[in-house]
Amino acid sequence: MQQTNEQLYNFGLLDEDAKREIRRSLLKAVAIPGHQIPFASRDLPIARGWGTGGLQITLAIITPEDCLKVIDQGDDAGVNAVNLRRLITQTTGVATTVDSCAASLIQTRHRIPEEPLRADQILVLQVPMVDPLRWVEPNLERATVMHGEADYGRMWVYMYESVVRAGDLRIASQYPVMVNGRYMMDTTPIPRWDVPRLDMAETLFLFGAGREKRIYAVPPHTPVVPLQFEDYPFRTEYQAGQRCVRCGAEQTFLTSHFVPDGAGAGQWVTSCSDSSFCDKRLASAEVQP
Amino acid sequence: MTWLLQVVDLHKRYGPGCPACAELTGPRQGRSQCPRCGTVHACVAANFSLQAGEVLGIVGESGSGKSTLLQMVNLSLPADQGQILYQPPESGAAVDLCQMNGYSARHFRNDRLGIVHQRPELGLNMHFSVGGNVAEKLLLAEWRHVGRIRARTSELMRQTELPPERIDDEPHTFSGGMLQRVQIAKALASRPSLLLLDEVTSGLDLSVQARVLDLIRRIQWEEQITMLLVSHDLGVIRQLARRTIVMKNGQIVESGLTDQIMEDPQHPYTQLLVSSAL
Ligand SMILES: Nc1ncnc2c1ncn2[C@@H]1O[C@H](COP(=O)(O)OP(=O)(O)O)[C@@H](O)[C@H]1O
Ligand SMILES: [Mg+2]
Ligand SMILES: [Zn+2]
Ligand SMILES: [Zn+2]
Repeated sequence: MQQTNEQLYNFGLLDEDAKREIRRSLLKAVAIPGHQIPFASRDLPIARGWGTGGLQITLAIITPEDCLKVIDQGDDAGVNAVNLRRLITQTTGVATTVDSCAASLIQTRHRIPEEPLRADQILVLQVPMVDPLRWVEPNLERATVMHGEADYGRMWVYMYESVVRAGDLRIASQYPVMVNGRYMMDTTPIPRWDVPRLDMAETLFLFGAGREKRIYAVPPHTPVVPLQFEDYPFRTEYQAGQRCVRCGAEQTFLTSHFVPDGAGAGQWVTSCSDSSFCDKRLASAEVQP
Repeated sequence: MTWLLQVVDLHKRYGPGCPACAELTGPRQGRSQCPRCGTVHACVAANFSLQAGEVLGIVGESGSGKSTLLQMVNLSLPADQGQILYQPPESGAAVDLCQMNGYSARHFRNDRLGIVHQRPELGLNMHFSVGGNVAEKLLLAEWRHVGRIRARTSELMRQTELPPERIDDEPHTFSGGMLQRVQIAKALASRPSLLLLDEVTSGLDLSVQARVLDLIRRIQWEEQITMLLVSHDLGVIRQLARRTIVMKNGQIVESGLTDQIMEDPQHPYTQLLVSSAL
């Protein structure tokens, strides 16, 4: 089966023209951090909501030497991750891993791995909604002009109104940031936990939105600053005393799940959203659960 | 006296223009739209200067080009030709505002200008609270402290005779006269050196109109702020403006001290305006 697929498809599924075009858009995106670059998004044999934007970037830059990691909601075993991984390996034959440190290319939705990424790694994020200005300007053309002129007054009023209405900057994900002091960028769909990790990072971050046909990037060592107020600063989801029930980590992004006790009841527990990181810690000798 | 603004040979037309335009349009022909090519010559060769601290009125019938002129000074409508020279009150070097790029023009507009439109929905975002609307100018000027922003916004609301406790209410719960006050509060937020007022009391009941005009007069008195006041109503202009420009069909037909224009109008069109305002 594997054999047949390799003969049926071009390496990385996309034809060479499509890859070249995406790479050109990526170069532009890297040259202007945070700036949305349009690209001719192709139809791929997966549903759009599953992240064709990120997938196309991955397929355009992947090489036979790459070692690939695919995550969904921080989990390598998520349905979406499994499907995307299968599609990419069947059309490229590259090696895969769940270890964030061993991967050269990481395709993800929702999370940046907990372990610090390096300069020789690339992280590709699949983005459902591109423009932070969509909250204040639904017309995409007008929003583009606003970005061009760094016309972000209305977005700041939106932030002000969030504070006034909710008493806090309670925007779960989709947190807006200023990239390199110039472009406003949405951080959808990563949690606030991961937002500070975009700032002055070692790694190249590439963002792709298939439906909205946009690509943007945060190159290494780029300042990424959340929109915030002196008296209402940006905060991550961190809560004092938080702890992973599996590995005991206190400084990770946690998700909660319900554990049934078999007698019709059960309890909510929290554990690391980054499952491979959690497994690694469990396996290592230092951890005493 | 030092001037703040000098408008030199300013032009704006809507349309491509044709060789016959010049002959077929203007006050003498009684139209600004060329019957040959359909182009509207909304502002033709406007020249005037604005002294620091004065209120200059611009009067003329509907369609004479008043809003077009004001929008160009507001840098929200690009001029086809001409200069808008601005001399900052704090230093002598004049700049031509028409030469600014979009980015600096927006910065200048937020910092130095305030505008109040006839229709509040042109000047306010109806989805934001009243306080958010006033705060926009502060946020654009990089105010980043919600507490201080709200303190300044409340102060502006008091200054414009709005109840500060309604800071978080939505604009659609305010009356027409109150919305004009909100626009004025927003315009004043950045302590601009020039306030642009476009038919701010048209459409209001006479008693409400009188109170808004009183407010503008009081602000002018207190802040000594330079104003460009546009109205089709000479009755409004004479209450506030020391000097007045009369526009017709895209051109300035007369200008001078408002009292003099009222006493002894020169242009037949001005005579008509004065007699109907009396
Ligand atoms: N965007 C536009 N396109 C075409 N014509 C316009 C436009 N805006 C204004 N005009 C025309 O320009 C002339 C001057 O309009 P305006 O400046 O709004 O006059 P006023 O404010 O004195 O009523 C009018 O004839 C108007 O119809
Ligand atoms: Mg008008
Ligand atoms: Zn864990
Ligand atoms: Zn013509």
